[in-house]
Amino acid sequence: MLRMAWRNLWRNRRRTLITLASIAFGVLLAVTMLGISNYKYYEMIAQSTRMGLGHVTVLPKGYLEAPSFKLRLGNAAALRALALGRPGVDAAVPRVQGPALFATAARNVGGVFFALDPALERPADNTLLQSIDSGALFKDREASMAVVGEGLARKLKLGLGKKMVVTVSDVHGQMSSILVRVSGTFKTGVAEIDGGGVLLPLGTAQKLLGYGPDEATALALVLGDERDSDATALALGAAIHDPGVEVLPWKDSLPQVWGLIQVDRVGRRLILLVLSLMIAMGVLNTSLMSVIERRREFGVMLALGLAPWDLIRLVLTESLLTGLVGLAAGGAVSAPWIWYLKAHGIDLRGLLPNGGVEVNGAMLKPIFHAIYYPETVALIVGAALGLVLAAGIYPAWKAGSVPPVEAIRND
Amino acid sequence: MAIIEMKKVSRIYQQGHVSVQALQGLDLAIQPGDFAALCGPSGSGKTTCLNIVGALDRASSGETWVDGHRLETMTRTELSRLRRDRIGFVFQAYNLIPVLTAFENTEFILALQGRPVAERRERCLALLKAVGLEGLEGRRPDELSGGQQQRVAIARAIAHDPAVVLADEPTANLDSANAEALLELMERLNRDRGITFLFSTHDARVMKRARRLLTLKDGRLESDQAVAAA
Repeated sequence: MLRMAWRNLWRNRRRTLITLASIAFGVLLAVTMLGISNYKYYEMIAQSTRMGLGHVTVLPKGYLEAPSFKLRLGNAAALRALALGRPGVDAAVPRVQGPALFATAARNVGGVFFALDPALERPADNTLLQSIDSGALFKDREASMAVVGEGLARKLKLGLGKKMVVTVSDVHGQMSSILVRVSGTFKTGVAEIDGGGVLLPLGTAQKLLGYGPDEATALALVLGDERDSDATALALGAAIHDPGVEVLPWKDSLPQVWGLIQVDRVGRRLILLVLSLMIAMGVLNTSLMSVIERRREFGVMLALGLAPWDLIRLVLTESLLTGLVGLAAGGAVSAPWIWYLKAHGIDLRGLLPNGGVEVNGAMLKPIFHAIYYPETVALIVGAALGLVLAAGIYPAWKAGSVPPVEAIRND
Repeated sequence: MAIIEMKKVSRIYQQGHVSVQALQGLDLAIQPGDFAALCGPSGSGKTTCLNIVGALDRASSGETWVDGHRLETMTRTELSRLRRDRIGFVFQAYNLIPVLTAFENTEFILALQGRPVAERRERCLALLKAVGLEGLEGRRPDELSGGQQQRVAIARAIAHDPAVVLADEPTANLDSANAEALLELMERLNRDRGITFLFSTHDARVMKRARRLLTLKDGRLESDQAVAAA
């Protein structure tokens, strides 16, 4: 059966090669679209979560709906230890963030401060730390120092070593201020952050707000694989078992990012569906022509005693082989392209003079690489084989229903 | 007991609004070891008769028995199995499977029956040798002459030891020399192996070699004549 199907495949070599080329082209397009989309989503998630909330966030209940300094985690160290004990959690850092007024003698600007513990933070997990472009991050969590956004520094005419007053409404609702010295500036490329963001030492912010040393507004978890965020959030939430605390995956803490990805995925699916249908129609056409041409041959085979079901299997095997060879050809064509995408990527710097694309407060890099997960490969392989098999069903049924006496009468 | 028996078999085709009666109450019996020719003018019902006996077509009325099986009561699958196991076919246009070699065409039915590879190999090589195609086993149909293709078709038809071989105008596409050679081969297989042959023909050379001449006219058996061996 397999031998016969394989030989049948090459009876009309040109037609088979055209079919294989269309499958290979489809695989190449799918590989490109899915790989770049995966990379884009990965970057959107990575950049957004690096802005402060992490892949999973432990928050006081209700904080996300109505942020307030009054809502805080009272046992950040214990929660951090619990989180770090979960598999797949690479880092867990306490953070305090919220609105503040930044002022110099001449001007004042409203913005947001992000307070962190320099000893616990890894620059790889925090976009603001990666974006420090002058000076340095404070080293002491109690220091009276700050790293300010490049735009804010310009507005307040601040330079390195200059002083600035940070004013907040503290945990009791009272105005509270502190004088800090600028140790560095950052530039993320996101105007809102650069123009109103300030990094403060965690201990300094805790004092400013009237928090205890173990209190924070959030605990941000960084995972090895962001796709584990749902499971990790669920498991950690169950382990914490505190009705005053909620553990959210990034999809819940950053619903705009999740929404954007979902909308993009729908568009991607539609394009892939149209592409798949076009290829399937091509395969169906080829397969049907091949079956119609062999009507007499099928009649003879049925006359000799081949069961109709075996004939259906033969035609489906031909379709499957077409899919496998097309897939192999697509793999061969895609391999150097995948290598190029991974090594060099598609460079859009010429089209994006601002150095990237701002998506929901995060800056995407202007060079698009590709990422492939095992499920991406399974999707491409499964879809290609499923499509050619589906396209082969009607021709196979048609072959199996050939009345032998009529087919032979065509002699 | 007859290998083939037709009792009052009729076959009516519907061609548009017109009914065409291809067979009209045909009675026929073929005995084991027969070398019988169905003859008669075009439209006399020869091919229809072979199609019904070969379980490819169904009679409109009457009874058809092949190797002890009543065809009218059998399902499509049972008929398919009967054709595979008990009937051999030789077609006018050879009808070999183009992508298979002479050897693979010969073993096609044995493979359908699921016979072991070694048995298939031994049997098919011997058969191809017997029909004079030794050394050509690996050739595909388009690499064989018409006569050689028809020999492969005969080897395929007898490979599974059928109860009867049905041949529809087997020499129609062959030149004289190849037709003679084919007839000699069929005769030899009939004589030496006792294989029953029923073939339709217009060809006088074929009729001359047949030991029974069944003449059809207007879908009825006009004469059934035993002929002394030449």
